[in-house]
Order: sequence, then C-alpha cells, then structure tokens
Amino acid sequence: MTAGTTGQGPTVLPRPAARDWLTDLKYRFPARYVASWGALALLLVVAAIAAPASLGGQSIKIVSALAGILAIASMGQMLVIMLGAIDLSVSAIVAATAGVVVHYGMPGANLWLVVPAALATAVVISLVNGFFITVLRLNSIIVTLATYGLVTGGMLLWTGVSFSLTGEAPASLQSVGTWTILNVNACLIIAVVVGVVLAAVLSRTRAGRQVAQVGSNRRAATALGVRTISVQMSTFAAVGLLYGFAGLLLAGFIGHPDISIGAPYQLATVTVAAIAGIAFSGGPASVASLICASVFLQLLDQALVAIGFSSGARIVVQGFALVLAVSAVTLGQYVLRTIGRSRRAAGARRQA
Amino acid sequence: MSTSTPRRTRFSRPRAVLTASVAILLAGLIAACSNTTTSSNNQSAPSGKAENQVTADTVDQAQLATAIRSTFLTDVDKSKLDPVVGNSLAVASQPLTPQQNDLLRTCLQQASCDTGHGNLTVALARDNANPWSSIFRAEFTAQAIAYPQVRKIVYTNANGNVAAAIANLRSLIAQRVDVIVTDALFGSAILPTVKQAEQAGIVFVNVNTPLPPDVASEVNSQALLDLCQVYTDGMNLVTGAVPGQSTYALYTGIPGNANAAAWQPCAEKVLTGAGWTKATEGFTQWTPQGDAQAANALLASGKNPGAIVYDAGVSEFLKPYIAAKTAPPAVFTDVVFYSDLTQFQRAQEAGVAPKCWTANSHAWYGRMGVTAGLMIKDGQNVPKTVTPPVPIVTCDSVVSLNKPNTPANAPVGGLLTPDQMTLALSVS
Repeated sequence: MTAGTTGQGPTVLPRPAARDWLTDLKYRFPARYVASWGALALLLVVAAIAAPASLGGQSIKIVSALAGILAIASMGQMLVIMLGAIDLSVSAIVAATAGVVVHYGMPGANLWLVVPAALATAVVISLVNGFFITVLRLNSIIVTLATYGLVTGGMLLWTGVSFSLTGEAPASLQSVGTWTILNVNACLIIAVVVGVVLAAVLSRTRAGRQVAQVGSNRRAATALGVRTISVQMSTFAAVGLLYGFAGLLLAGFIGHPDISIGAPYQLATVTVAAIAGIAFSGGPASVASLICASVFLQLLDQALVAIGFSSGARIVVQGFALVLAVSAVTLGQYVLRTIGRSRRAAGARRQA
Repeated sequence: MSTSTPRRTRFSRPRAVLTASVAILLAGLIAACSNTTTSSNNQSAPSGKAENQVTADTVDQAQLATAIRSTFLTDVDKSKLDPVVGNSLAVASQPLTPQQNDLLRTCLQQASCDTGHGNLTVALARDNANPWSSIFRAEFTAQAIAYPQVRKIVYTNANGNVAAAIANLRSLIAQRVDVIVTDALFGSAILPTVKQAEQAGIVFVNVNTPLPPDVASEVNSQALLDLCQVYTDGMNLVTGAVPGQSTYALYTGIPGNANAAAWQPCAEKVLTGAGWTKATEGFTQWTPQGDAQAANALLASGKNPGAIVYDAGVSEFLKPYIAAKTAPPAVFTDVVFYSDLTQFQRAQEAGVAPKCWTANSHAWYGRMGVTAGLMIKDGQNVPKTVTPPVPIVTCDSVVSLNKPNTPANAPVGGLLTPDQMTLALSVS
C-alpha cells in the first residue's frame, strides 16, 4: 500500500524501485565467498582437458578423502579466524589425536572409550589455547606455536617415534577412513555433514551468531551483553573437537600414522581459509566456501601430479593459485563496483 | 631515620663483586661440565688394547653366521668382509647379558649414560628422528655397551635442522668425547666442525650416507652404503624379471636429497640401458600421507609402470593395488619395514603379490661406526672407506621374519630382539 494522505486528497507514491538483482546477489553471495567456487569450476574444466586421469575413480577416492579431512581441520581453523585469532597448533593436535587412538586402540581395546578419549585430548589442548588467548589475551600466534612445540615434544616423549607396537590404526577406524560411495570417500561425506551442522549453528542459533559478533568487534559484543569469554572458550572447544575428528579420520585413512602426520595441515588450513575468503581480522565466514576451497586444493595437487609436475613446480603453482584466488575477490569486487556505478549512472541519466 | 638516597658509587662496588663472583662460578661450572672421562686428547696415544679382543675368527662361528644372516638377510662369506665389518658383527653376534640389556634400556631412555667400566666416551650425533633412526641408535648403543673400554655413551639429535646438527657436533667437541659416530645428512655443512674435531684429537667416523669428498678427506673413516651398486644390482634384477621393455616410476622423499643423488642416476642408467622409459617421478616427503598420495596418483594415472623404485617403505604403494585387486608393478627398495612385509603378505593372500626385491635396511651400520672408532683409538689400521656388501634379496625370502611381536615401524635387518626394537621405538 503506497497511498498516503496529506489533507489534499490521496498521494500516490511512486512504485518501489525495481529490484536490483545484482545488489541482491551481492549480499546473498559476497564476492569473497564466490572465489573458491569459481576456482574449482575453472580447475574442473582445466583438469578435464589437461589431466583427465585426475578426475578418474581412483583419483576421486584420494582427493575426496584428503579434501574431507582438510575441510574438517579447516573448519576448526575457520572458527579460530572468525574470533580474530589464528591457530598454528592444528598439526600437533591432529597428530596427538591420531597418536592416542593408535596407542590405545590396540586389538581388543574398547573403541567406545578410546575414540572419545582421543577427542577429549584434542578438546583439552584447544581449551588451553583458548584460555591463554581469550582470558590472558596473549598473542594467538605465540600461544599456538608454543602449544605445537609442547604437544609434539610431549608426544615424542610419551610414545616415541612409533605410536604402538603395530603402529596401525584400529581396523574399524580404517574401515571408516577408506569406505567409499561411488568413489567418494566417507571423509568428504562426513565433512559435508559436519559442515551443514556447523553452518546451521553459526547462522541460525544465537550462540553461533555471537561467534561472528565477538570476532567482528569484541567491545561492541560486550556492550551488547554477549558473554565474550564464554563464547570464545566454547568456540575453542569446538575447534578441538573438529581437529580431533580430522585426526581420527586421517589415522583411519592412512592406516599407519606417525608423529609427522599432521604436518601438512599446519599451513594448509590457513591456505584454505584464505581461498575461502575468510577475513583474518575476524567476523563471519562461509562453510560452503571452505569445503569448496578444500576440494579445490586437493584436486589441484592431484591434477598436477597426474600431469607430471615435480614437487617444486607443484608448490609454485599452488602458491600462484592461492594468490589468484585471493586477488580474484578484490578484482571481482572492483568489477562489481564498476558495473554498479555504470548502472546507477545510466539510471540517473534516464530519470534526467 | 635517614631518607637520603645512597649515591650510585655505593652500589657499584658490591655489584661488581657480585658480578665477578657469578662469572667465576659460571666459568668453574662450564669447566667442570667440559670434563667427561679421563680420556686423552692425544689421538696417537692408544688407549690400550681391549682385553680378549673380539674378531670374526675368535667368536663362535655359528653365532657369527646367524648375525651375518640377520644383518644382510642372507648368508655372506665372512672372508669377504672387511675386518671392520667382520669385527663389528663378531661383537654383535654375542648376545647381551641381562646386565647389559638393562644398561641398554637405561641408555636409550637418557641423553647420555655411564656404563660403569672403561675409559672412553663414544657419541652418536643423529641428524633426524624417525623409526629408522631410533633403531639405528639402539643398534649403536648395543654395540657400544658390548665393548668393555666404553665408559660413557652420549647422544645428540638435530631433528632435521642443519644449524642444530652443527651446534650438537660443537657441543660434543667441547665435551672432549673420544669417538663421534654420525650418519651425516648435511654433507659439506659440517666440514668446519669435522676439522675442529680432528684438531681436538677426536676420532670421527661417518656411516651409511656418504660425505662429499672435501669432508670425507677430513674424517677418520667411513662405513658406507654403496647405494649406486645396490640400485645397479637391483635394476639388473628388475629388468631381468619383467619381460620386454617397460616403464618405471621413480620415487624419493625430498627433492635434491643426498640419497637420491647417489642412487637415481645409477638406477636410471641400467633401466634406460635396458630400453625402459620413465613413466613418472614423485616425491613423498617420506611420510605415510605422501606415500599414499603418490601411490593413489600413480594408480589413478593409468600409467601402469613395470616397476616402482623407491628408497623407503613400500607398504602405502601396495595398499591401493591390493584394495583394487590389481597386481602391483614390480617393486624395489633398499629399506623395508615390517609393516611392508605385512602388506606383502596381504597381497599374497589377495593373490596380487608383486615381484619384489629389497636390501637390508642398513640400520645396523652404527655398529661399524663404534667398532671402527674403537679400532682407531686402539691404534689399529682402519681403511678410509669401508663398503660392506649389500646383497639383494626377494621380499618372499624375508616375509617369514614378520612375527606378531615385531614392531611394524622397525626396519628389517639388524640384531635387535623384538623387545629391544619396541623399546627403541618407544623413546624419542
């Protein structure tokens, strides 16, 4: 209803401005979250032409397995970054979880106790990080680096270089880690399920939205009555749980994990977060974009191996891809702004 | 009550005395810590012959034959062994007494240990930490314990850091150890410290990984794994067993590592000479995940090479083929772990066992380092380079060594018992 009254007969107000579909899209799908999707789409096209073997059944199995594990670990990193911090202890926590489950998961052990104990280990370590970062307000890089050293050294002192006599993950965990449906590994399926739950919590629950609030502006959140320390500590607990899941799945997939098993995830999770368009200053993030970035990274590596790139060349290409993916956001925003300005100018000329 | 502030000069005198006292105390502590045993710095002055010197001719020959078979994974004529190799195996062939076993347990759990006898200090400077390296340390320790003239055993570990490796060597030199044994991964970087050790009269023995010529000329002796010969012999077996011309896949851990520089040219020379071509090449970082990625990528590529040549454990390479119920390519490696034998057994059970060859995993080479070092201290003539034979064996022939109580991550080929291996792997 647009009619109004001014005492001189009804006033006909102009119809609402035509829906600007571009603006609508911009808010529904921010450009920085779209970069990873665009990168994956482009990679699929290039891989189909240059390295079709990387899209074959066996490749999909390995890519989906590693992408799923990376996605779960990256979700933990994402939560930390949403709080405005960064976590460099991810590799140590992943290795510690794998170590606990291999060390205590010998044949005959009760896995219903061993697995929760392994997850609890990861949660406790992450909570220690959270305490130093949120309560004592220490620098997250320093704290998590220290945790990395302490946990890695502690694992070496406790279990040595081999987690157990067999060094093998429990058979049932290996079954889960290597199970596939239509060549898609269970790790990726689990990652998607976890991602859906996480996205729902972050966007639909008050507690979830408070994570982004605290990360965006801690003082404002406090002024609004948000219990920032509780929110942050709960988030770090969730981070530990996610790292623990990643460690369990990795142990199951690899089968014979050792102390170095978490090493690739030290910086890979940060790379994934960057490609996914997550702001390192804190604030909201997109879980879907994160999962997409994980798949992109693993598929890129697999495609480069299939093409026959050497290790050095693969690292160069991955670095290049990271720069492109991150700068694509800025470039995309520039293009959208230019289009928006052009449309507004055209609209103003029409009205004139 | 006086409230005047004392002048600065009244504080400076006691402070200077305090500083000087602390400095003297620290100097005294450092000097005390620098002294180890009553070892002599004079390399030319022998420490005295060990009583009842053990050689390959003086021990029980059946025990010696068993030791040879355990280390080389096959029988080797002892007359073809250099005296350093023969003597080290002769000492190693005698089982440790219960007291020595307890001492081994103690030593492996500490950074240094006192044996309670002898007057020499032997040190092991490791450059990295992994299961192979842990077994290497245990073999070294068992050998050192067996010698009555060894009083103290010291360990250092650089954990893959070249600066730490150099610092560790300097620390050992400062401690005035008598013998340093190392498996030097950092090549020319340690040349200055090797020279310092030489000037300090310390016997420096390198084992397993060859040093560059400029460093090799400075050490007292090397007991080396002839990787070129191993892979030359291995590739001759591979090309002979796989019919026709085929392709091969080459893998190593880290790009540019010294091991690969030694074996890959030799392997490729034989393979290309037989008309084979390279299907692919990869780097695994020598990690389980790297192995899994490389193996799955190879299977996914559809390239199906005739042989996989890799300088580490091959269990992850066999797994995807076993899962796909596809016969894997022929496999050659110079290092085999008990977990690899488990996978090989599974491949046999699945009916997809590959042709597979391996060599002993040379984790026992530290024993030769101890023996060579003590022989030099004893004034005996030890060659500049000792190259023990490295026979190639089929994986079939060593599968039976895989017992349930053997740690999966231990390398095959050595003289430790399963309990000793378990202990070695359980400590950092």
